[in-house]
Amino acid sequence: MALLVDNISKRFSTVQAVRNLSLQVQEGEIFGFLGPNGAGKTTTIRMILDIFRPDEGRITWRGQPVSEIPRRSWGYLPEERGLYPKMNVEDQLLFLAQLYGRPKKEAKPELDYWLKRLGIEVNRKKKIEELSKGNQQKIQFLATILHDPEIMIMDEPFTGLDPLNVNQLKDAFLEMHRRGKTIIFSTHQMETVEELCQNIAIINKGQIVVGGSLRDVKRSTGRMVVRLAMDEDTQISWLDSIPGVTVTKRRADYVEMTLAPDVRPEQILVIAERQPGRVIRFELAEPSLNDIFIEQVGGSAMPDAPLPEQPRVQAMG
Amino acid sequence: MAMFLKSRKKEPTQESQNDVVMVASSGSAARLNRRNIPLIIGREYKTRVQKRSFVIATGILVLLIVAAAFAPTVISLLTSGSQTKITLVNNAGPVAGQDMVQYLNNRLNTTFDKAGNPKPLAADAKAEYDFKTASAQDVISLRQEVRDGKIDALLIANRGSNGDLAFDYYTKDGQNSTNTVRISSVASELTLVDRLGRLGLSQQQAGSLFQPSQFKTTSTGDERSGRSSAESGASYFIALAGMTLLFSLIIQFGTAVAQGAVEEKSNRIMEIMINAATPFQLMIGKIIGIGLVGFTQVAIMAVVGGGAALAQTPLREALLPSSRNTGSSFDIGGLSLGLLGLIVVFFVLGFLLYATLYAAVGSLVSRQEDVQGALGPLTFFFVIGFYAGLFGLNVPEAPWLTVLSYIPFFSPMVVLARAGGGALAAWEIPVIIGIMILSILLFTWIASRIYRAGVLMYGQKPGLSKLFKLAFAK
Repeated sequence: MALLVDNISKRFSTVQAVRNLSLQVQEGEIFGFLGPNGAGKTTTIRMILDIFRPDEGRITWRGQPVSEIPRRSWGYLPEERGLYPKMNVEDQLLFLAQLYGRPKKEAKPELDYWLKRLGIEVNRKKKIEELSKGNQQKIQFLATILHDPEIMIMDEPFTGLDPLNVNQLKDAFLEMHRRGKTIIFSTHQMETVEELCQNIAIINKGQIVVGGSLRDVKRSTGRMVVRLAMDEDTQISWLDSIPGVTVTKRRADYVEMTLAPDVRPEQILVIAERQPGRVIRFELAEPSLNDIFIEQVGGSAMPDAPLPEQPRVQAMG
Repeated sequence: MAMFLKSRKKEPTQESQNDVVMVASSGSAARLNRRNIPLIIGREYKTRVQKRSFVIATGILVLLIVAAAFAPTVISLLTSGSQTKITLVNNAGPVAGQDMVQYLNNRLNTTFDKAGNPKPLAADAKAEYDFKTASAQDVISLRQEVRDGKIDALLIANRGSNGDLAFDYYTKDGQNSTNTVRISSVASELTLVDRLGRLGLSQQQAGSLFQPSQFKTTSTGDERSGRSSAESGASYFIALAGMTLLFSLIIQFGTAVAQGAVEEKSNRIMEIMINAATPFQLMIGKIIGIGLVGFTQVAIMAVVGGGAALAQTPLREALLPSSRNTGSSFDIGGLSLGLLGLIVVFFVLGFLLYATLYAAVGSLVSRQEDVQGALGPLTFFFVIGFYAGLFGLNVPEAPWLTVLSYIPFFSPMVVLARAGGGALAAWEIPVIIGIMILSILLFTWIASRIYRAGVLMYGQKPGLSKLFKLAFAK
């Protein structure tokens, strides 16, 4: 067992920030930590890092209390980015790596490698404040990993990045994963979690609401969804009149529904084929992590009502 | 481990009574990293010394010092070739049997050697004043010459109805210009000499009247320390300059420490650093790093300023062989050197004392804009010390000054005042330094506890009681 968070609680004057929270993170895995704003993610992360101590409970890494772990083992990317704005990239990163106990001559080649790999070699001598937000975030990421930590804890590492940068950072995550590092990160981006994580935990109001492997979490809802799209009729309003069908989403390119246990998905397909227009999408799927998140955290998602009938605009020609 | 077990007791959640977020991190894991303090010092020093604002400020200071050192030489060089032309219209006749032009020349165109005895002008030297005589008819045209700048001044000597000399001085200069003042003072002398001549005193007797009086001051402080009054005067100015320097440097670099702490807090790098270094390491590293920056600036100023000052005498002799300037003899004796040493020691101690306190205050503030306000009370203390010192320079033996010199907040300034006044006994110095060091250790300890709690605390401003709770919480 790698990181063990055992029944921790933390209270700030009037707010119970974390209540009886337990987590297990296996060594070498990527762990997703999800929760709405103010759920207690950052507080939990800070307790894991021994910045705050829990009022109750214990946190251990390889069986050792976190307060006794050499700092070299930790990499931390705080939610609010923290770098010296007037220091240049290289000086800054080497300083932090040394502060975390890695000698300069070891950190330097690693820095060269990562600057090249993330395509920010040209910024080596630039001050942090001169960089774009995306690049600042890459530097912050490097500040987390350059001292070669065993376990990295990143608070919202993907926020504010464009898709290109998100991809680069995902690749970097996977490389660290291949190197056997343990990564814990919090995010709101569900696709990223679905792509990267083996295990997740969703927390709300300081407590875990769902946790475990990604597949188990998805299956735990015990239901499947059906997604249907027709080329003539984007709203597919006749679905509402079929007993046992609950439309959960009406999107521009598909309609998603859940079925009562006595309705089989094929029946929907049969009805759809009798309608004008062709079926262009019919799929049976697990609910997305996004839906599970909203369901668990915000109560059940309100089903989307069909849009009011709109005059059809004929395509020209 | 003990702390760890304590938090595991299975009692119902004990609500923590602190309204202020207490940072737990004791940095026990980071304490092992011995290279942290030198690393932090290095970072603080390097980034600050490389800053353009530091380079420019130091450059300007150096230029000012060099300019101040060279100014007297340059001015005397520029004026050495010039001569003040004065035309005298003497309607009063000889003064005590002496020609007035000759008297004026004797009084105004003489130089003095270092001992203060008159010295004849070198053969090739130009006299500072060039006196010509003219007759009374030319007064109107001479006035025009003054207006045209052909001559510098017109001096008309008359005799009043009571027989006394009466002078009219016509010039472009202002009322208080050097020339006007000097001519006026020689004119008063002339009037006096003239009266005495009429009363029947001989020239020699009259001349002896202008010998300076014998007046020797011995202060009890000087008597005790056995220094001459010249040394005492030098000490006064060195102490004054030292206090002023200390005051501005400690304020400037102490504020930089507080701002540095707030900077790390407001840009949240503290969250990363607190993981790798203990609050004590972060604080002490910052203080020493910034202190070294201040020291660098002072050292540059001292080297350049000292070099420039030492260069003046040879430079002057080379450029102005027939210098008529007396050149103030400001000899720095052994006692003054001791005083310079005290300034350095108390700069270091004063900086450490105030910087730790400034760091603690800085750690409690979340935004740069609030720094000055939060530092207010501390700065107030510091300013009181400065004024006590300034005032104390003139009453170095006052009992209240002795008391203040033992209070660490005021020691740096007040000690200099007492030493400058010769009122500081040798045995007091190690005692006061000892008190300073002990209080620095105490304040460092308290400040690092506050720092530990403060650096990750945002928003709330803790009251005094909370501060104590933070500082002394386990």
